Amino acid sequence: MEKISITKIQALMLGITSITVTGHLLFIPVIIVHAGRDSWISLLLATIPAMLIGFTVALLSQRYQGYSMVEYSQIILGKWFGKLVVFIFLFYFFHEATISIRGLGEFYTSAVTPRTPIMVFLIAMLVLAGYAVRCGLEVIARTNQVILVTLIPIGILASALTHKDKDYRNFLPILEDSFGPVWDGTLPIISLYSSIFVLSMIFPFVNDTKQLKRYSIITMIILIMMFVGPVTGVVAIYGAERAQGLYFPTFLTLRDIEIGALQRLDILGILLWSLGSFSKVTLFLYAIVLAIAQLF
Amino acid sequence: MFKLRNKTKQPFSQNTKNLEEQQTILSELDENIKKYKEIFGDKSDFSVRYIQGDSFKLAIVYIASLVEKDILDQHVIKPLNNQLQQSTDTIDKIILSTNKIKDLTNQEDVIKHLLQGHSVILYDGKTMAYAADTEGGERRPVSESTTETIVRGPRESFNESIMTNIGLIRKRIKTPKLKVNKKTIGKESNTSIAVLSIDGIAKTEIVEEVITRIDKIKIDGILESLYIEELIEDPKRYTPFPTVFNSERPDRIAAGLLEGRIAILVDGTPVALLVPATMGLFLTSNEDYYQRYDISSLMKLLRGFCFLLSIVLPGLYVGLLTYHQEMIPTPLLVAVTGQREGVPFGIAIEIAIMELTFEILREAGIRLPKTVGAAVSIVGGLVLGQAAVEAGLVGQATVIAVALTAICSFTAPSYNIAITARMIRFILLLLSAVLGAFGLIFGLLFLLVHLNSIRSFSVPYMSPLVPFHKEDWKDLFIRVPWRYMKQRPDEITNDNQNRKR
Repeated sequence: MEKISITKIQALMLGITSITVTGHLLFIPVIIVHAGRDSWISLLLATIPAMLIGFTVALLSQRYQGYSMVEYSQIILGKWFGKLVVFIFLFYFFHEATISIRGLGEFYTSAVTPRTPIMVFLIAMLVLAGYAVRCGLEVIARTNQVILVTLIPIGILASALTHKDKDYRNFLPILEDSFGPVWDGTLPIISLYSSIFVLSMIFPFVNDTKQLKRYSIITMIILIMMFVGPVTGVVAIYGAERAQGLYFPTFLTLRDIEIGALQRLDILGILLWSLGSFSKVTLFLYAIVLAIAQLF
Repeated sequence: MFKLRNKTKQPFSQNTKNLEEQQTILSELDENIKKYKEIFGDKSDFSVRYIQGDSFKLAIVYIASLVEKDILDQHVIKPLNNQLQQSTDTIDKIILSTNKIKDLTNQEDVIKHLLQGHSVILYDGKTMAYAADTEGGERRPVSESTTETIVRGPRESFNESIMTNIGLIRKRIKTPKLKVNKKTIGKESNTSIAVLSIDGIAKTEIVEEVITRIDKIKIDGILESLYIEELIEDPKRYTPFPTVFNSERPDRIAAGLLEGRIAILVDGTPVALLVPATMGLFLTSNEDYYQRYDISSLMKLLRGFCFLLSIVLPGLYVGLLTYHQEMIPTPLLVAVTGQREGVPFGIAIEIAIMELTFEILREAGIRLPKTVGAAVSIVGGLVLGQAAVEAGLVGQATVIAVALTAICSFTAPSYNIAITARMIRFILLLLSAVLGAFGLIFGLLFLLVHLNSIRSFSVPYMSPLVPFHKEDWKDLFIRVPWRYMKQRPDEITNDNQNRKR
């Protein structure tokens, strides 16, 4: 087998794409349901735990250089207990991959092409992800680089185009129900950010792990920033009460764009989530395959 | 079983080889000539001229169709005729005044040189011979390229003679570091090919890899450089994308050599190969470097956009109109569907028919003589298109979409990549006809993964886009002025990346 080597930027870019896109699609509704108009405070509160998670992943990979999560768990915790922990993680990865693939399918069947059976999307996505995994980590990393570079301008464009409809008075009053709901909103964000742990499977292939901790923390901060736009945007446009009842609020903001001849930019949203979900599914599938191979 | 067959075959082939090598040149001149006549056939273009001196006798043998008569007369026969009084021993190769003279000792060499257009001088009473380079035959002059035309820049293009072609490159890169590695390939055709690279710029591993792959070639004849191209491609994975670049412009090949690429010239064809080839190379026209940087940057962007459009447009059109009408602004939707009133086919069928018609017209136009070709395009383009719309068989918007796709596909500077785009276009069309936007995105993602998995001689096909190389982006989507372009491509060149020294 050829020696795989990717750069740390490539690895972290994989993390960014996979968390951002499913986060926007599936987690933002959850956050808004819990925290309502104070969602942005939940997001801010999640900064510290998110950075801690990023730090931990990088630290472990730096300590046990060249070892993946599967291998160092067994070194740290002993053979049997380590295997148990790995097993739990394996299920977690599986769960994440399943959720995002199902999320994409649901998105398509409910918002884009309602008459197509969901199985079509699921199978197509799995075939695609399987093909990418078969091509290897380097290919996945490079593909994801292209994807992320196209996604970020689209995201910024979407956020800029919706600016007209935003009404920031929707955020008032702040902390009406005290901190309770805000905490509830923080938890899903943290759980979302913990899926960065999947990177522990690919950090061993990074060619240069110097300053990995710093890069990892910066990645988490970038991730937080990428959520600020959509979380505040949805509430600012629809108001807390209406936003809570929407299935795919971030998609709807795109759909409702109307500036002159520019209207109905759903296609941008579809592009965003398809590409992003592909990255995430591929990354997790790769992690699962690698973990199973290393475990048994 | 396979092993067994190999074992039985090998000693046999070795034996025959040894036998041939043992055939030395006979000292008896008449015997010798008789032998060659037997080999080439008595009534063939194999010719002999005897020269009888005072104390010696010699014969000049050559293949009439391969030699240049003037050179033979002026530089071989005339000098020999002037030396009729000399004895055999003093007649030496010094008196011959051709380009290249070689000593031959065995018969196999004699035959080889005869077939290359050399004249061989055989002496009575000597077991050795001289081969004088009198290569000739008809040859097309160096003329303007008809397939790769440009507005500004050198006009020369390669012709069919490998020596002329190497010369055209050497004229542009005047350095002893330009290494030419000549080889002969093809069991029957004995085509000479040359591997060119610049020492200290090209990566040594890639040069070696190219040479080993060429050495592995086993084929009876090579008539065009495509034979080589297919035989040295990465065999691991199928790809519709070309991984070997070709051009018939010496300046293009020279530019590639200066970037650290390796050129392969093949005798008998004006098309030279360049490896490793990346996606960017196929979407670059040489004129990008001959026009001012601002306009050529814009042209590069435009061309990239057109290439994408030529792949995506039919699929997008079908996908939007069949599945996602809500995404089209209402007035436009009304206009398009209004025109299609009474069109009997679905939109996917309609566009597939039109695309297919276009492909047929294009193929017909290529094969026809130039004078008739124009007529075909008029009949096909104007009459057929107009009539189809007026008869209500296709909508006007469909014709526009197909025409736009076609025009976009013509902007690709390399014919190879345009062909690939043609094939992919139909696949994407099918996918979006079945699944709408998802199908299109699925197809594009598949394409992206596939493109990233291809390598051309160990260089990732999509580099420098990904893996990301900051310096090389200066020459990817745009072209920065030459004064800022300081480095050669990262993945291709070895450590010597500095362009200016």
